[in-house]
This record gives sequence, structure tokens and C-alpha cells, in this order.
Amino acid sequence: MSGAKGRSMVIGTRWATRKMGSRHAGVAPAMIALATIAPAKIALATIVLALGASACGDDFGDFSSEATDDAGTATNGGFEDANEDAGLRAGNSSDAPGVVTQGEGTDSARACYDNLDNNGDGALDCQDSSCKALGSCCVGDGDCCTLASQIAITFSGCEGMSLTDCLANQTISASEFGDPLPFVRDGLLSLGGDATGQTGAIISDGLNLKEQRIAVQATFVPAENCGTGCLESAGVSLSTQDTTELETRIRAVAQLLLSGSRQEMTFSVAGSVVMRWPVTETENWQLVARPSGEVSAFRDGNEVIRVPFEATGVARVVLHGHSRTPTPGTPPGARLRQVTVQTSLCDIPGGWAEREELALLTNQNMPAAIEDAESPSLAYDGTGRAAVAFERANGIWLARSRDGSPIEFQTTTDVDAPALSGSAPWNERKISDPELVWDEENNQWVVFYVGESNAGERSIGRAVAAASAATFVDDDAPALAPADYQVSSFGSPGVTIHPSGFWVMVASVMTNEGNIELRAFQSTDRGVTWGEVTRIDLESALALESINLAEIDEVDDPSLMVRGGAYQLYYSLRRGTRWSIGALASDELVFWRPLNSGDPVLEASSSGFDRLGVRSPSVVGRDSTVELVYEGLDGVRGLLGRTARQSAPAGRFL
Amino acid sequence: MRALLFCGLSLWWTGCSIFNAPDRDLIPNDGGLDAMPDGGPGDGGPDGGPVGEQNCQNGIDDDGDQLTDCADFDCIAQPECCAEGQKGFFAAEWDRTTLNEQWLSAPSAALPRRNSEQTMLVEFEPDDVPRSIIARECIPLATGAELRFRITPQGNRSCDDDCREYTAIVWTPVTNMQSGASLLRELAIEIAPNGQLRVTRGNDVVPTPALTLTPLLEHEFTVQIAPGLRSGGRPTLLASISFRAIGGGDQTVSVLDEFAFTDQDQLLLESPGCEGVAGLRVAIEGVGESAHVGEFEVDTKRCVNPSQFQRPAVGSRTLMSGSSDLGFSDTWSAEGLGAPTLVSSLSGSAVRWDLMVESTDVDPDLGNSARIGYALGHAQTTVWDSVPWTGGDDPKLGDDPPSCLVAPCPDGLVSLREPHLLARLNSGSMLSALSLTFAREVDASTCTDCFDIHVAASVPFAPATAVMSSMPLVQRAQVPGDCRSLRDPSAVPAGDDTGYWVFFTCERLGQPSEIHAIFAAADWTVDPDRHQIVIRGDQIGAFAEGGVRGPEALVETRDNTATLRLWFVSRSRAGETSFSFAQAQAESPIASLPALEPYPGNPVLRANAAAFGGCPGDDCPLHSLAVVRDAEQNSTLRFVVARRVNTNSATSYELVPLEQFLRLP
Repeated sequence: MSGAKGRSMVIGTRWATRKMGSRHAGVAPAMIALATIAPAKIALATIVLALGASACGDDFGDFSSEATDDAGTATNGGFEDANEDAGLRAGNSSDAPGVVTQGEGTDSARACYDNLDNNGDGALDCQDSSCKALGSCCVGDGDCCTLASQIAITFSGCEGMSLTDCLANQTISASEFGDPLPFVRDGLLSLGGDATGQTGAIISDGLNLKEQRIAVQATFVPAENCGTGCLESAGVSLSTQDTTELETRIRAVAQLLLSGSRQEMTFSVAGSVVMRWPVTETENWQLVARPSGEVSAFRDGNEVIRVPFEATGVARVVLHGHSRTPTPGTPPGARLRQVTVQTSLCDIPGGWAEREELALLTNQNMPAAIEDAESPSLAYDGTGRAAVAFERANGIWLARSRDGSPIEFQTTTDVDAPALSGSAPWNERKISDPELVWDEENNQWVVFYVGESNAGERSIGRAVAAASAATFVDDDAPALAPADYQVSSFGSPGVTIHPSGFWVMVASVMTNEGNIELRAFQSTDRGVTWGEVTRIDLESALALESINLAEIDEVDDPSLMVRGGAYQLYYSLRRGTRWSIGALASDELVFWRPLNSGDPVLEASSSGFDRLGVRSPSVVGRDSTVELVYEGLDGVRGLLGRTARQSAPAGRFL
Repeated sequence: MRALLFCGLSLWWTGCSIFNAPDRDLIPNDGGLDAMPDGGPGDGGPDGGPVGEQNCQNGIDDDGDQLTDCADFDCIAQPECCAEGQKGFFAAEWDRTTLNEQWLSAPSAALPRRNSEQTMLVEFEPDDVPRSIIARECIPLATGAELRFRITPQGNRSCDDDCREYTAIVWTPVTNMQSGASLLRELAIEIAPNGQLRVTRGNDVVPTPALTLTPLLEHEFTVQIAPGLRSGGRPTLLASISFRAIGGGDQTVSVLDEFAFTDQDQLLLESPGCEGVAGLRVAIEGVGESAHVGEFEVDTKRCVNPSQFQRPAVGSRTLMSGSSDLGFSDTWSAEGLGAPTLVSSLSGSAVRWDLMVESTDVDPDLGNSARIGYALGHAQTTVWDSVPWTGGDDPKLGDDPPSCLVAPCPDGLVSLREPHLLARLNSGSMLSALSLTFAREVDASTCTDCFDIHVAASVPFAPATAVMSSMPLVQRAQVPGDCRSLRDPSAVPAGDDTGYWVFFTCERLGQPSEIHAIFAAADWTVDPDRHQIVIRGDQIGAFAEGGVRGPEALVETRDNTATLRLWFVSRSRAGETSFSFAQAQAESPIASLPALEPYPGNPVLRANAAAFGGCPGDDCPLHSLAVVRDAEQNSTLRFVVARRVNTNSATSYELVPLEQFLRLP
């Protein structure tokens, strides 16, 4: 408790020292201490994201319950008194509709982030019904997805038809395989095949296991008169194989298989049997594969097992099976009555597609590739055209997408002429770490960067460029100068625009005591002036996943994004000589939870331009796509790369 | 531009690995400190006391983990526990031919200048741009190495306070550097003109005592590298650096002791020189004339590294299912092949290899649809790579065919699986007796897919001669707990002919499988009172939460101390299989089993391990393994790993030979 109080005082003091709109506040701390509460409350209330609460449907209840027993920890969520943190999520006038409501005076904010079962209901944090509704809990959750498609298959009315025709009549594209082919009898799908081959059908297009939640529900009917030696079986699988491969054997990512002779349902993952259940009656089963890396089996609507699996690649839903005597006149084997396939889109921070190297070309008649770019920052203008700002030599370059290409960019200036270079006393030694933002209201680019004076002091500068301009025009003074924030120096900034219109920045700072911290700032005038919001306690966040902090040597390059009702913060992390990219999520910038179980969301590839490391992320979410540009490392030089993933723009529990 | 360092600058950031000495004792039960009760003798926890094995040669179990000296995982990196490898594995002199043939220059083709005798590199270009020469050949480090070189600081000369001259000896994975930048440094020893010494990793300075070499005096450096473990159990490399001034009293000065500088999975493996054992390149980097560098020499070591497997230099052929490699008839072995057990003995001047496996005539994948039967086959050879081996056309034990899904076949077929041979060798390492334990299917009408353990006490040496008799050894009713089926037996002698310890898998319905052990007397009568659970998956990590199985035990005795080593299959909840390792020591004969200490770096072998040289299919999940000490090269363990090869349209099974250094007790 005392620790939390201590920090809340610090936050309050800092806030007051640099109240919003005051670039050079210069107000004596002693005077401000009493005046801290109100501004802090307002500021924090306004940056709470409105999306998270509603994002997860109706599966949220009393937010306070997980938090109720949070005594002894930072129960105020880091603020002056218990009422202050009510402003984080409470439905006060500054909150947008849909924000989760909590009881006044409860200390709940941290309780959903502390990896403790505060209310003793056996559920931690995002697993607790009282926290599930948070937008940050939706990120990376394989059950927090948006329904993308659904097909329902029935075999009634298909007597005498081929399975392909049966499904075509239901406007379902499928391809059958095997010899003899599967057939429909009594409204049930019977499988052919024998001990050397099997039959079945692929009933869906390729489904991306890294992005989509796939639920296959099927009604299984046991075999009749099947002795211990019979082979009859029927199954549903997710497989990465194509049709011709399936004829000989199924290599399933996940599989439910009903055996006639064994009279049991087998649940297999990656070829290994995980569980078996006796089955003698017709039953409904469901196979659910989540892009978060978990696969489940449901029996008559109840989840009976959930295990991890490798959610990579493109899979198809396959109905398949064997029969030793696959003729209509013999006792039927195991069969399928009906099948439903649902696919949903989730937001999985580690679910990136293939990586590509960015092509940065100069704007000269004979374009030449630039191969010494660093610290990229991606943004889109009002027309949807992408641009990348990057650091090179002692300047910042701007490059725009060529013909809408996501990976080909052309600089706005010549190879020797940066779009921005430092000339003011506070940035004349060096400018670096650009962060590009599109200012829709003023139809201009804004770039934030780190400017270093000859004395070594590092500030965050701001410069603007008209939509079609080649170069930036620097502001007269830094947007954030160390002296104004009582810190020693600033590092890389990451900026995003909140749906409500204000701008949020996360930047690394070196305190006067020599500590390195990430801090959040807010601007209501499109980045001209900034007020500090809070310190981001990265250490506590990473500790939630038992990450060995002692092995982390460096964290830097924050990149911030608002998506699906939460802030997502991406950062570079170094262990030894190797860089990777990690990510956190938060609902209000104060408390953070590691994404991807604390593992990097992007690591070195095994080959290519980023085979030894990745760093300097810049993440942008647009519609159903999240893009990430970054610096790839091969041990000799850095080259810029891009990857992307599909994600649900807003989550909803299915 | 580059980021602010958390370490060194930040008090807020708690601890930095590069500044911390590695934890030398990694016993999970004690949080990585030691195995002793808090406050008791040997406790290295909060109350103080020895941490880890303090002395690796004193014959005492200093930390109370029941592993003494070199058998203790703490001693892996100690020189006294490493055998010599190849002397002069890499040596370089500075004549032009050597420089051109053995070294790459970067970032340009400019070589450093040499002294007139060509015994010293004396100067890099004095233009403020770092330059380097990088050894073309990779130096294998994963089993240890020692690098020696001499260096002579040149004094301050005209280099002022802003002097940027330096000379560095670098361990690096790369073969080039960007103009104006340094090499990627996994570890570097950097000498300033005034003799000031610092050790760096990447751009970080590794804390060392403040040390300055005497200008113009020659110093001999020794860099010892050995495999080790980080506190989380991740295999890493440990570097110890020392030097002595030649003619300066010869006192050895320690610069760094067991510093964890790079993880083993970050080492080079495909590069020339490191095909079998992963390593790095050595380089010399510098600006100007900071120090003169003398000749280099690298010796490789053979430290015990449970994670280091390699393909054998001799006998490396992979044996395939569906082929005639083992000389078996297709009628019972056309499809599945696995669960190997291996015996190594001497036959005249050659090594005789006896291999038994389980095999079947039907696609094992059909096992989820119907019952599949297996039989046991025996093959033998003295030339591993020469196929076919001498194998029995018929099963050594079991039905032919063992499965009946295609053609009608008689009732009463019994599936036999997972053979394990226990060999008795005479003083000349020749085979004198063989016993066989295996899993035998029980009546399917009472329990589907259930097995008990049986034993054939006397097994004919000739592969074609069938085993005539066997008897039940361990039955489910004799095993406390909820074992639905008993599988994968592995019997080892308890010592002094008192009996055997039989390790086996306990399969539980809906629960992760466990490894158990039970004592059997010399006549193979089990003692149910001497049963215990040996390994549970949840004890050793997420990679084993789906269960452990397939134990492969090895017992070796010296001075009445028996060292028990156990390799086993670990399975994650997602079904991914890997191999893990545990060991213990006890007084011989082993009256009661000591608690086995899992290796903190488990799993020791994964399906994608470089030692396999790739996978000929889409994926190659591991199935089971056999291990035996090579009867001829007795500091080598020979493994046979059974894996499944999934290709686009078919599945096959392979037996892949691997080996590992393990000195005799």
C-alpha cells in the first residue's frame, strides 16, 4: 500500500509540474502538490479506452469482484485515493458509453493485472469473469474474436448423391477423395476406405491457424455390430494436407476420431493421442482450434479437454474415415450426421504472416536502394497511402509507398538530403528515432523524434510536413525537453491517436537518478504540447509472466497502438546481443499485461535479413489488418522489414 | 540512436545477467541454490553455506544433491571434468599465406600490418574505422575449447585521451562488419594502447576487476570455454579468461570466471569446422597500433554436455522402415519400426551391435481406429553402415503377422512391444548373456491397449533364433497407483548380482504417463514393496506436462558408487515429444533408488535438433531412443533415436544413430 501511495504522489507531482498545455510549466512543485488530484483524474479518465468494456459482449459482470480482496497491494491503482482510480473505468461523465462499471471505492484496477486470484474464485485476471470484459484481456485471447463465417452441413436428402453434389446443393464447396468414395445413407455420411487408404472430403478453404478461431461441430454416430477387429471409423480433422495426400493418411493438426472397434472417441494433436473417451451412443462433439495456441474438445457442449497446439500454417477441415467393408449392404460403420464449421477472426499479437524486406528507393531518376536505414515508423495519410519515416546517417528521411505497395517506398528527398536534419541548439548534434503521425485535421504529417544537443541532452522534437511536401519544418522548441519534466534525457517516442481525438505518447526517459523508464504523455492539441500521464511499470508487467528480468539487458523503441479496446505497446528487447520485439496491453496506460505469454511477438528468423534479430517496431492497425515495420538484423547491418496480421477490429466473446 | 542501456544505468531494473555470476547449482527444489535443507549443513540458501558443488575433485557431494564431483551438473564446466579434445584444432601464424587462407578481412580487403618476423600483427589502419580479420573456420565450442594467444600493449605513444585505438580478440557468429561499426561481439577482450583491458559483449562492458596490462610487455591469454546452464536452465556457454605477463613474474591473473556469454542455440552449426559441434568464429579487430597480437592456438575439449549430440564419425547410417536394412520379413515389419534397444560388445577386433525393435505390418496410424499388433525383431552387425544387417526373417518374439486388418488371421494374437536388452559382457567386453524385457498385451477383452511387463531371461545371441520362453515380470496389479498399462521396460543391474531395477512407463487413463521403477531379484521375481515413482512430467517443465515415458537407463559403477543415468521421452501437453535426462548416484549395490535429479537444461534433444541434419519430411517427431556405451570407444555413448518421418503423402520410420561424449566413471 505504501508503495502505491508513494508512487501516486510522484505521479501527481509530475503531472502538476507539467500540466497539460504547458510546455514550460515551470510551476514550483511545492505549490502544485495540492493541485494534482483534479488534473490527474481528468487526464486519466479521458484516456481510458471506451472500447474494451463492450468488446467482449455480455460476459462481464461486477468488475469489482476480482478486485475486492486486493488489500495489501497497490489498491489504488497508483492514485491518490480510492476514488481516484474510479475515474479509470467508472461511468462518469468523461467516460464513453460502454466502459465497465465498478463499485465506487473499490480497488480493482490492479487486481485484473496482478496474476493473483484476488477473489478466490479460482480464476486469475483475464480468466475471471469480472475482468474478461477488459479490452486488454481480449488481445491475444483465442476466444475473443469476431465471427467471420459459418457453414452448416446436413446429409439428409442426399441419398444416392455424391458427397460433392450433396454439399454443392448446400452451396458448400468441397472435394471428396478416396476409393471407394464416401456415401450418404439414412441421412448419415458413411466413410469408405480400407486398411491401406481412407476416404472423406475437404469441406473448407484454407484457414489461417495463426489468425482464426476454428470451431468444427459434428454429430458422431457409432458403428453397428463392429467387433474388435473392425476398422470402421469417422473423424473430423484440421489438416494442412491437400487432397491427394489425404488418401493415404491424415496428418492432423487436431483430430476427433470415433473408432468402431474401440468404441471410443480419440482426441489427437499433432499425431499424438491426447485423450480417449468411451462412446457408445450418438453424440455431439466439437473441435475448437484457437490462434492463441490452444485446442479443445467439447462433448455435448461441455469442454472436456483443452491443450496447447502449434497454431501455424493454413489448415482445412476434413471429414474422413475408414471402413473395412464399405458397402451399403453391410452393417454401417461410424458415421457423421451433421457438421458445422465456424471461423472467427481474433487479435493475436504473435500471429504474423510472412516477413518481407522493405525496398527503400531514392527519388532520383535512377533510384538506388537505401540499405542503411534504421528506426522505421509507419503511418497512413488521409487517402490511405502509406509512408515511412526512418533514421539514416544524421537525419530523418520520409518515403511514400510506390503505387500502393506495402513494401516499396520512395524517398521524398535525394539520397544525400534528409527530409529533416537538426539545426537548433537542442538538436544540432543528432536527430534520431522518428515517429510519424498523420494529422488528419491539418492534412499534414507530423514527425516526433529524439534531438540531441551538443551537450548530449536529448529532447523530443516535433516537425511537420504538408501532405505532399518533401521536407519537414521543425518546431522552434522541443515538444518535450528534459528540464520541463525533471528528467535527464528523453529516448524513443511512440505516438498514437486515441479514437477520442487526443494524442498519446509513450517515450523512454532517463531520470535524474539514472533510471530508465517508459512514461506516457497526452496531448489535446495534436502533439504541440504534452502532459505526463503516468510511468509505465514495465518491470512489474513482465514479472507477471515470470520473465527473468535479470536476463534482459535493454528495452527501447516503444510503439503504441489503440486497437480492440486496448492500448498495445510494442517494444524492442535485448538479451545479450540479440534483439526481439515484445508487446504489452493496457486499458488505461497504468497497468499492463504481457502479450503472447511474455514471449516475444517477433523474433529473429532462421535466415534472411533478420536472421539474428529484430528491433525498432512500428505498429499500425487499420481495418482488419495490423502492420509491423521493424529493423531486421543479420549481425552486420540492419535492413527494414514488414509483416502483417489479420485481426478483429473489435473483440466479442463467442 | 541506439537505445538506453537498462543495465548499469538503472537501479530500477533489477539485476543484469551480464553482471551476475552464473548460478552454479540449479536444483529446482531449492530455487537454484542447493539441495540442502535451509539452515542445515550444506545449505546455500538464505542461511548461507555451500552453493553448488564446491570442489569437483574432492570425492565429496558438497551440495548434498547426491551427485559427486564430475557427476554433478555443477561441474560440467570445470576443466578437471573435461577431457582433452583435439590439440591444435586451430592454429594461426601471421605469414601471408596463412592470413589469406585462414582469415577473412572486413570490411575491406586490407590486412593488418605484421612485424618483420611475421610473428605479430602490429597495426590496423589508423583511420578510426574498425577493421578485422575473421577466421574462416568455425571453432566448435559446445563441448568446450581453450584459446591461447599473446598480446603486447604498445603504450600510449601519441594516442591522446580521446584515443580511439584498440585491439580486440572477438568471438563472433558473423563473417563481415559494417564500415564504421564493430563486429557483432558475443565476447571480446579489448586492449587499449595504455594496456587497459576490458571485456565486452555486444556494446556492453562486462564488469571485471580494473586491469591494465604492462605496456610493451608480452602477455599470454587463456580463454577457457565450457558448456553450462543459465539460471532458467537454458544451455549456455561459460567463458573464463586469465592472463599472465611473460617475464613479469608469471602470476596468472583472472579476468573473468564462468561468465555466461551466449546461449548454445545461438551458435553456428552448419559452418565449416562446426558441423558436429556448434561454435563461433574467432576474430581480431582493431584500430591503429594499440597492441601487437601473437600467434593463436585453439584446443578443443570434451566436456560433458547432455545437450550436445552429434552424428557418429563411423556408423552413421540411418536405418529405415519398409526397407531391408535390418533383414526382417515384410510380413510382420513392413510398416512400423520403433522402440529400439541396443547392445555394444566386442567380437574379435570389431564392435558387435545387437539391435532389437518393435515392428508391425500395418500402418500404425490405424491404431486409433482398430487394434494394431507388434512383434519384436533382432538384428546384428559388426559394420553399422553395411546393410542389410544380419536379421531374423521371423520375429525374435511375437506373431507373424502381428496385425490382422487386411487378411483373415487366427484369434489370440498378442502384441509385443518395446523390447529392452540387458547384456552381460565378460572382461573382454564380449557378449556372455542377454536378457530381454518387453511389454506384452493383456487380453483385449478385459482391457483395450493394456500391457504388462514380461521378461525372457535368456535370449539367443543369433538374431534368427527365436526366444523360446518368457514369463510375466511386472503386472499391473503389482504396481500401486492407477497404472492402466505398463510399457517401455528398461532393466539395469542393481549391482553384485543382487537383482535388477526395472524402469517402466505407467500409463494412466486421462492422465500424463509416469516413469516408475520396481526391484526384481536375480531370478526376476519382483518385490512390490520396492516400487517407486521415478519421474513425473510436471516435475521437470512444460515440455513434459503431457507425460514422460520410454525410460532408457544406464548404470555404471566405480569405487562402490553407482551412477544411474536415465534418458526418457518427455511430451508436452500439445503432444510434442523431446528427450530428457536425469541422473543420480548411490552406493552399489543399489538397495533403494536415489531420487533422480533432472538435468536443468532439459529437454536435451528436440526433433529439430541440428544433430539430425534436418528432417527428410515435413516434420519428424521423436518416438523413442536406445543408449549404450560404445564397447570400443568407451568414452562415447551411442544412441539410436527412433523418429517418425511425415512427408506429404506417406509416413515412414527411422532409426538415427547419434553419439555423445561421456567419460567413464
